[in-house]
Amino acid sequence: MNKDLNHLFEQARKSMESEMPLEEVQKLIHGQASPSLWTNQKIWIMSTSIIGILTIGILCWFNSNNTPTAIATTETSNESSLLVQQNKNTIQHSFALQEATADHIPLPILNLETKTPIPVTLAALETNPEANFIAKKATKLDSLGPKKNFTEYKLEIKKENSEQEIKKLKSELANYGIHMDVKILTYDTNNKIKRFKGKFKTDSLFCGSTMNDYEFDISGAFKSMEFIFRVADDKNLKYLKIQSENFEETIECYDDEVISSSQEARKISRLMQEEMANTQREMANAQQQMANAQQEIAKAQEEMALLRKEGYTKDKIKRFEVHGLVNWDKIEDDIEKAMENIEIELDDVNEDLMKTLDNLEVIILDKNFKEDMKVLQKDLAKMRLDIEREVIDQIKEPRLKEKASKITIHRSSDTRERTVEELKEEATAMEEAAKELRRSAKEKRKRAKQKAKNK
Amino acid sequence: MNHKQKQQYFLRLYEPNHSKLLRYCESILGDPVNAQDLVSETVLVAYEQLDKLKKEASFNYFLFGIARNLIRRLQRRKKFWGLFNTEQAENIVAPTSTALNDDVQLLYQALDQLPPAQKEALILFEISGYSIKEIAGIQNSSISSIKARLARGRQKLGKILSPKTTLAYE
Repeated sequence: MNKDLNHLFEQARKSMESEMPLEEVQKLIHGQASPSLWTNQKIWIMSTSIIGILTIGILCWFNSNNTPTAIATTETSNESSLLVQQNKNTIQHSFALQEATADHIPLPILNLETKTPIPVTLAALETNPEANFIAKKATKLDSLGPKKNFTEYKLEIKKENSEQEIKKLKSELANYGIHMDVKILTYDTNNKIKRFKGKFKTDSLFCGSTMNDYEFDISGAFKSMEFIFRVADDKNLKYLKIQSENFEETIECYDDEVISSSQEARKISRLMQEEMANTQREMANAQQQMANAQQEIAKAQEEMALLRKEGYTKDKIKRFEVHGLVNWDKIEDDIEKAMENIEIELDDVNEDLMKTLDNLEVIILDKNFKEDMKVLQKDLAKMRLDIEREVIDQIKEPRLKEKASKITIHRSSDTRERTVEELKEEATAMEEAAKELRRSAKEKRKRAKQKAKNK
Repeated sequence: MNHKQKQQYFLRLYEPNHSKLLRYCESILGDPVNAQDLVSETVLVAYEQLDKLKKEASFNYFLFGIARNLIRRLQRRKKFWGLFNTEQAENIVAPTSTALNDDVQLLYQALDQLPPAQKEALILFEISGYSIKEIAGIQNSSISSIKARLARGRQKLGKILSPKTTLAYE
């Protein structure tokens, strides 16, 4: 075997002998150029930079050994201003500068933590100051992470008066949208609670969803029991802890959930704000239109007064008609527009409409506005009647009887017919508006239900 | 040291090691072309870093150290090199192999199956012709361990080659 191997190795050696002559290597080495300019430059740069650093170091060391250079004072011949001349006699303050020496004492680390809880007085405390109900504004919390503000409430229930304490806790929690239902299951001989069962429900969001039927069951004797619940700025419950000697239950929102819920809440709030802004805009428009209509009425009233004062003339009637100082159409349009933009109270609508709109909840945006509109309509009707009466009276005068009668008859008949028609139109318009409102309200309700289901 | 003086000095040191280095490289890589490239690269690196050499006597360790490092680098790179191209593979013409070349190829194949340290020790000893002491210097280990490596390597090589070698010599 060894012989075979040796033979094989010898063969391998022989096969390689004339592969690469030494001359090739020699050529390779001779072909190597002298160190390049770059390497020379590199050496120069390195050496000069080292020399520079050394000189700077030496200079610094030399300066530190010398006496510090005095601050040079040079007198400048400034022309003294009037103000300076006036205040020449004021004493000049001189400050003696002292040489500062390093004391090598480490600077103190400032602790900016403010641990002053903000006390919040609660209803329970007012009624019974003995209750251990503490509320404080916390700035940091375990899983809620930093920079999240919330209010923490603590209530300690002692076995002596546990029933009363639980009642207080229930009432206090109800103020924050948390409904607690506690059933005492067993009593011991001294009438001290041994075991009780509870349920929590919230109206407000907990971890982005409502905390429905969260149950807890505490068994065994306890001396005291502590309820801690933390409510965020948006009054949402974020943390709830129930603890006694032999029981501890904690539920809390984690960061991600808080973030997601807050994002959702932000979206919803944004939508709500947009809707609110839209409705406000609509209200403003409606109010503007109402103001316009009132202005028109005022103008008409003024004209009426003038007519009464100066007496009726043909020219004035013409002016009245041609220039359209009292523009009925415009007034009515303005009122209609105003009516279109508001939601209607069902009581205002006639009986027929009421029947069709049964089982509807229509939101009234502004009650005063509605009343104003009613007054406006009454004023309008009165004005019309006044004008008609006025015109008829004037026509009765013999001089202008023939010509004026044509106008007044037409006018009066027109206005009467118009008022009836317009009232009908108004009623139908209101009906349509109410229908639309009903539809939109239904849609909104559906959306809200879907959202709730999705959550 | 002058540039020319440096060249002469290097060549003087290198000449006795040339064939050994070439054999070593070829037997490690198993390819004469790559081996020549590796030798020239080793030479260039060694020439550039000649200033770092402290003793003339340890030149061969210095040279083989560079060669080993380059081989390692090459092998590391090989792992990440290119995709297999079937067209190129088909176009490669197989070298005309004699019976001698067949045997040498078998030897190389068997050497590849050995652990790297054993393979290197065997190549340095059997093909390059270095002494055990020199190999200990190159591999940075004791003489006894080199002896053990050589013995174990030979044993394994014998086992691997036993059926094939007999066939080759028959």
